[in-house]
Amino acid sequence: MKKRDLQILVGSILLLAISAACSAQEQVGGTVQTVGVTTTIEPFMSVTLVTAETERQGDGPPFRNLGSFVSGGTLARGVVEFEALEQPGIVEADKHVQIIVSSNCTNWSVECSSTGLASEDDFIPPERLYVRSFYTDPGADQGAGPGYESLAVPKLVATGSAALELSYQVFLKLEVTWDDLPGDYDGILNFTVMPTP
Amino acid sequence: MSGSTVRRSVALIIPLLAMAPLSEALAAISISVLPPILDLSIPPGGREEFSLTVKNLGGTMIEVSPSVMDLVLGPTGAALPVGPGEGAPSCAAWVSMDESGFSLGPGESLVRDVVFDVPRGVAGGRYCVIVFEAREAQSDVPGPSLNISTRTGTIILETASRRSKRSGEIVEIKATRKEAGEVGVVAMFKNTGEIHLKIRPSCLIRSSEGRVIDRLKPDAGTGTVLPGGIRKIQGTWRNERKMLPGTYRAEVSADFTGGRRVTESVQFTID
Repeated sequence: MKKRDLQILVGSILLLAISAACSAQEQVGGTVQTVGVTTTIEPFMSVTLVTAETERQGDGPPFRNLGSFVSGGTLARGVVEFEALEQPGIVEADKHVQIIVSSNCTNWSVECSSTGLASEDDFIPPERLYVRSFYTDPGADQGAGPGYESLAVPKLVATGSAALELSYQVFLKLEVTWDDLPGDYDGILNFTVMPTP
Repeated sequence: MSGSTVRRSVALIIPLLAMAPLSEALAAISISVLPPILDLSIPPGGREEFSLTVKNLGGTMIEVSPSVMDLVLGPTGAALPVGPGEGAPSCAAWVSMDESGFSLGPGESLVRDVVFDVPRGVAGGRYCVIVFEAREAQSDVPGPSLNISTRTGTIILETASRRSKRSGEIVEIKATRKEAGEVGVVAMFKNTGEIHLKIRPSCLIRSSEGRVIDRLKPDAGTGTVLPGGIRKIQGTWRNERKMLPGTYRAEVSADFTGGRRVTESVQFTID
């Protein structure tokens, strides 16, 4: 058999094989069609604030966890109290705040701030409120104990990326001085949760 | 939402929504505002209408107060609503919406319509944030106390004209020897232009002869810097084999929109 004849024979066999394969495919499921698929995933962000008793927390390190696990104590209402029943000094809050953020944004942050506490006759400025979180410096002591930083300016207390639920703890203390007049003081502790553009 | 581009992210929303009931069972305050970011390109004289959805994901009644505030991004990119004139060039005055407060019961949501009017003759980028502050309803208690509230909302990034000036500079750079022999490199990038930039940082370590001996991958988060704002770029050089005693130079570059690049360097010594 000449070389040319051999080439024609091999070519014919290949053509037959391809034709048979196509025929078999058509018999099974018809011709193959493609369907375009599109989707739009909108950005999402939710925040949950929980207050929980601190007595069983002690001075352990604040956590940063995946999941909505709430540590120790009982769940309480959205109010933190400082019971300054004894002489002035550093008073620990009766509860800590737990922040739970769910987001599909690539970056986001939580800043804690306050406008201070006011009574009918007096005012305690925000710089005498102190927070301790996973993001405050555990080695720093501004007078309220290791890791507690003053709220003179808003403090970053949580930051993260896309996650189902990320949980963070924030502990609070208040500095009460001899100049603070007796009375009931109220204020607002604000957690600003924003995506990072 | 014609004429605008809503920022899209990579993860799926469905599993997030599926997780909401878990929080609901525990929550004192739980809220979402959608969308969290609007990246707009409305030309001068243009108008856009959009809706924001506020949902109470918790198990208690909440009171919500809306407001429109200026926006500032911290050096790490953290977004913070601020008062008038305290943030980046503002578009707060271009937002028209009902700013009256409302209550939401467990699982309830409310849609608030917003009209965004861009005046004629403006250029560059303008920024603001529509804030929804949520508090537990009737949370006041007698005695010294702090009421907990949360603020979240929708950030608006408006580019009225893409032909606006884009410029930036590295205003500060430091290289510091850390514990365990590492060298920390920190640089501050300032946006000196008229619209927000996205920077992509890089860092080379050069020998005293100028030869590149190592490369770092510094971090700048999402890299967004608003006009007049500063972004921190930081990296750590750890490479025991190459960190021999001698003098080195850390060279930090920031590439940003429009194919531009700025570079600064600092010298440091390893004993």
